Amino acid sequence: MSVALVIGTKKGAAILKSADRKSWSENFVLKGWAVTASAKDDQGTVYAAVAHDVYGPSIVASDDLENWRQLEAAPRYKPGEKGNAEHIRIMASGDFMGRYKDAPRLVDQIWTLHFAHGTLYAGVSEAGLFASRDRGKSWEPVDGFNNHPTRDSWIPGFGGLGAHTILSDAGNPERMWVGVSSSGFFRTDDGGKTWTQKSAGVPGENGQCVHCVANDASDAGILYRQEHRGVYMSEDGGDSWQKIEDGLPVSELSEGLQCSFGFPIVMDRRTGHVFVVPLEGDNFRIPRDGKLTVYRSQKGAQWEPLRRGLPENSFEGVLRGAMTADQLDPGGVYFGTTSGAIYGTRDVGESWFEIARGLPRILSVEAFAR
Amino acid sequence: MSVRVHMPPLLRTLTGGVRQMTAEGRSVAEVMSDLSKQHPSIARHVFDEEGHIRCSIVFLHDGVLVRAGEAADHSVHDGDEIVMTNALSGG
Repeated sequence: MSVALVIGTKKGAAILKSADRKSWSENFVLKGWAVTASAKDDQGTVYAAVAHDVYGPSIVASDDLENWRQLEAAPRYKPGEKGNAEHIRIMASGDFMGRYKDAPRLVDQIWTLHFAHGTLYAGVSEAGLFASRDRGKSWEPVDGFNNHPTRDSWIPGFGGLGAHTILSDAGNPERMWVGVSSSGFFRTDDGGKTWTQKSAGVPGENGQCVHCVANDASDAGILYRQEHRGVYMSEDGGDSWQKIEDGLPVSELSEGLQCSFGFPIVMDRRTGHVFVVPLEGDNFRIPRDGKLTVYRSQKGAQWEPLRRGLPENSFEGVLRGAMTADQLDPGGVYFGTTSGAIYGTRDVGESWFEIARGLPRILSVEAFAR
Repeated sequence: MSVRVHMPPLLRTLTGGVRQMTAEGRSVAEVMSDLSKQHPSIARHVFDEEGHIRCSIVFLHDGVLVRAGEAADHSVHDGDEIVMTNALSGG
């Protein structure tokens, strides 16, 4: 029942390993690179998306989590593709000479990696979806998504226009979902040729700011969604959404809406438990009263606070990719904070323990059980 | 023109730890293009999709600062040295 955690930080990755989920070894790799996402394929190879503010993004891979090699290729748009001017203004702060004034479409970051049905997918910023059917040797754009008919109306979020969530359906390779900040949550039912916005029931007057969505690929139509404007559930593959905030703390957003604000949402597939980390609204983005608290719900019912072992006087956030579950029995859940601490549970959230601290800002957390 | 290029520490992980490399070209941009052909693993870190040198890379050519946008027009000569580095920033 050993677990390896790949903790992606702003300046490298911490590899944490444990045979019993009590004592952990730590090794820091990929020094200097922001490690924005990771995923494992069906042969045990782990892929990590890396990026640097100056030198751009790429993908590295490892079979042992110690020795990493850069893949021959990485997602790239074709030269001449028109990009989003607002996104370029956000992301190209180093464009001192105005070379991006015509807003080319560039991949500046890989937000998420997802392996399903023999294909490795990458969700990128500027928002787009790419697929590799040869384990990263080559990448193809998913044109049906990248050239979506509504693309001209897509609005970047505070972190730019990024495709940060990819979900799949184990029983149906034609069906997938992709979340984009702040343009919404899209589903394809024809293997990526066409994509439909799936946000009915979720408020989105100023852009559809989906933060994170979770599902169990083996029962894929049940979806849990942490939106800028609250927490929602769908039982029909995203066709309709219902708010599920009973027991969650709510805060007032800038626009006046009262809802539960946060970023990650994670599922323990074996028990159907769902986990979120509420923050005090979009103005403050820190735990209320400094009490870092995870909330747990079973299948969208009443949420309960889980605080045992978590710090008092903590004013750190948890980013959308920085929480995960190991899917073991009993379930382990792990999250990293913007202040570089890692917390975990090995009893489905009943108690928490600190695994590491002092890391750079944590961007992504994945657990790979062996 | 054969020019020596000092690689930044971050990219040396892709060049087997080599600190200095030699490449051909008449301008800073041509030298970087030749270097990227010799070492494809660094190409995507030097050039963006449009074929431009990434905008926050800067060069020191025999002590003279050359911004990415000036690299195509900045001539080099046989035996010159280029230091590849990045714009100063905090954090």
